[in-house]
Amino acid sequence: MNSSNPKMVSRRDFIKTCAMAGAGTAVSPWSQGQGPSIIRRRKPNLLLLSTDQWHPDAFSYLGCPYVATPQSDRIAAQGVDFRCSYASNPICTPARASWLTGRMSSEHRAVGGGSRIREDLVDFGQWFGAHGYETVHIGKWHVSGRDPARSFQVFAGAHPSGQYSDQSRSELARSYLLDRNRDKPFLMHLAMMNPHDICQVSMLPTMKGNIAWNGTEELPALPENYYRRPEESEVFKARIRRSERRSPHSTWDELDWQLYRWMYFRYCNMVDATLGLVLDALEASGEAENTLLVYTSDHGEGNGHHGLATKAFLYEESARVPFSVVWPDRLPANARDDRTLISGIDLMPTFCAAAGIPTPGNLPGIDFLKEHRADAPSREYVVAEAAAGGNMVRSQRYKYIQYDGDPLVQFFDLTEDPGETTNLANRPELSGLVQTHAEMLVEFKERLDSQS
Amino acid sequence: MWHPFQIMPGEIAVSEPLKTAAKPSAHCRLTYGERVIRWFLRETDQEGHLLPNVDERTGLVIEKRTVDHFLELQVRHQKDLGVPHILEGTMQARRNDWRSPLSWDFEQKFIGARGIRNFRETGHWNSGQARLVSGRGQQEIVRTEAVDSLTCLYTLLADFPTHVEPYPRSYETSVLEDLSIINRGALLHAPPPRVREHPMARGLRGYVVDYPANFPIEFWVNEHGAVIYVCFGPNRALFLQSIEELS
Repeated sequence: MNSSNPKMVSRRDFIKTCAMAGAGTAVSPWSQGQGPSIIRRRKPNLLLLSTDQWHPDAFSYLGCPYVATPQSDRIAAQGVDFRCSYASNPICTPARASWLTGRMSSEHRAVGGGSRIREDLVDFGQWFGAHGYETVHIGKWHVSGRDPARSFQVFAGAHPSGQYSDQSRSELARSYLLDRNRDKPFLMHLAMMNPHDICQVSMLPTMKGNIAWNGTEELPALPENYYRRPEESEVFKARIRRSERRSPHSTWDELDWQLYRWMYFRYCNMVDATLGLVLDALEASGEAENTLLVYTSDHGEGNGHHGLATKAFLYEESARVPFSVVWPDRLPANARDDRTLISGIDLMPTFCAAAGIPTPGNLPGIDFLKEHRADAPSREYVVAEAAAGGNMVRSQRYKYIQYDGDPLVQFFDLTEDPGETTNLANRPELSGLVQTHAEMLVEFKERLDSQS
Repeated sequence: MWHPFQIMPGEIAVSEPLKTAAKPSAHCRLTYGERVIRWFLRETDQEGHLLPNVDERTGLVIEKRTVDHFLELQVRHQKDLGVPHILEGTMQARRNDWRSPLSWDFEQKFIGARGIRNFRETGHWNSGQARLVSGRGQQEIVRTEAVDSLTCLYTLLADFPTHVEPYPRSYETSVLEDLSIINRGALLHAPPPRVREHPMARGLRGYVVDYPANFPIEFWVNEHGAVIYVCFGPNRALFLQSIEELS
C-alpha cells in the first residue's frame, strides 16, 4: 500500500488517528467533508448476520422442498432478496477477509492454508469503532493474522461445530441486543457456523450397508446437473474434483450423495431455527427500525451439483451466495432483485455509505444499495477468485471461468442454462462475448493492481 | 458408518459396570460428558478412513428428585465457545409419556473477558400452552405457543419413559431445546437396525426423537432405564459418566 496517496489510509495512520480521536484531541480526518445533516442524523445500526456454506437456493421461500427455513423466510419477507450475489473467493478465510476489508483475496492475501491477512489493511471492526460505533463480533472468525479481540470492542469466539454452538451464539447475540449500552450505534457481525458442519460429512467414506438412516423420510433427489456436466479442465479436475479432501467421494454412490444432501439440509434447518432468537431480540430491543440487516453466507455449497460437495470452485452453487437485506422504511419489503451484481467486497463500502462515514481509500467494491436504487446498473460484472487458482467473471447474463495454468475456458449462459451444464466457450457465434469477458477480467485485475 | 459409535467410539465409550448400572434412584445425580468432533485429521486408520479430532466438552449434571408423578431437576449444562456458556437452573416435570416440563427457571451465563453477561430463561407449560420468557431486567421477550405435547432433553435424561413403545409405532410431540426454542413435529421411533446391531449398542435399547431442526437424536437406554448415550447425528454425543445417590 502506498501511504503517500492521500486517499489511502495505512494501518499505522489509522492507529495513530484512533489514538488522537480517543484522546479527544482532534476530529478524525475521515469526518472532514461530511455535511452537518449527516452528522446530526441518527446513525443506523449495522447487523451482518452470516451463515457458513449455505447453498444460494436452499430456502423454503425459494421453493426448495427439502429444507424448513422459517427464519430465513422471515428475513427475506422483510426486505430485498438479492439473487446475484457472489463470494469474492468461495472458501471461508478469503471470503470473510473480503467482508472485513473490502478487498479481493489477491489484495488482502488471506487465501486459506494458514496464509495471513495483510497487516496494513483496516478491517470494519477497527474502522467503525473509530467512527463512533460499538463494534461486536460473535462467532466464527477464521481470518489468520488478525486478532478479532483487538479489532472489535466486544468479541466472543466459537467452537467450530455449528451443531454444538450455533444456538449459544444466537443466545449471546440476543443477550447483547437486549442489554447493550445505547449511547452508540452498533456494528455487529454474528457469524454462525452451520451448515458448515457438512464439511465433516464430506470427509467420510461411503456408508455402504451401514446407513444410519431409518427411512422415515424420503431422501432428496439428486440435482439435474449431478448427471449433466460440462467439459472441465484438467487443472480443475486435479485441484478440485480429485483433491485430497474430496478423495472419500470416489467411494460414494448415488445413495451416499442423497444422504449427504439430506444431512446438509438438516444442518440448514438447525441454524435457521436459532436465527429467530436474534430477530426476536432485535425487534424487542426497539432498534429494528434503525438497523440495516444483511443476511448472507461466506460461500455456497456444492450439495451434489456437478457431482461436487463443499466449496472452492466457481460454479454457481459454490460461488453464489444468499443475500437478503432489510432496512425498514429505506428498502421495500418482500422484494427481489435479479439485476444488481454484488460481491463480498461491497459490504464495507455499503456499510460506510449507510452510516454516512467515509470509506477507506480505493476500495474496489461499490455501495450495492446505491446500485440497487439506480435506474440502470453501473456495474457490468463481478469477479470471484478461486483459492485453487482461477477466476470467474459474472455479467448480467453470462459467466466466464478459467482456472490458472489451463487453456480451457468455460462460458455459460445463465439465463438459458442456470445449472451450467453446457460450455459455450467454443461456439463461434459467442466468440466475441467470450473475448469481452476475458477483457473484463484483465481490466478488473489491472484496476486492482493500480489501486494497490 | 456416519454414526458416533463408529466415528468416535473410544471417546464416548462407557465402562461395562456403568453401562449396566441399576435404575437411577428417586434422588440422584447424573453426570454426562459431551464430545464434539472439531475436524478430521489428515491421518487415516487401517481402513484408510480419516481420523476425527474430538473435543472433550464439559457436558451436564442433572440432580433429580422424584416426587410421586413429578420430577424436580436441578441442571447445569456448560458449553465452551471460546467463552464458557453455562445454563443453570431448576425444572419441574410431569412423569407422563413425554416427561413434559411444566415450569423452569434458568440463568444463562456467558463468561467473557469483560465479565459475566447474564440472561434469565423462565417458562411454563400447561393446558396446551407454553409460555417462554427470556430476558434481563426490564427487557423481556415473551412468547406464548399452543403446544399439545412437550418434552425436553433434560427430563428425558433424568427419567426416560421406557414404557413408551416405539417399535413399530411413532408418537408425535414438541421439543423444548435449550429452553429458548420449541421445535415441533418430533416423532419417537426406533433406530435403524444396523445401529441397533453395533457392539456399543449391545444390551441397550434405542429410541429416536426426530424433528426437522436437528438430526434424529438417539437415546440409548439400559435395561434399568438409565440413559447411557445420546447421539445427535455423526459428530456430537453425550455419554453417562456417573450416577450418584443423593440423600
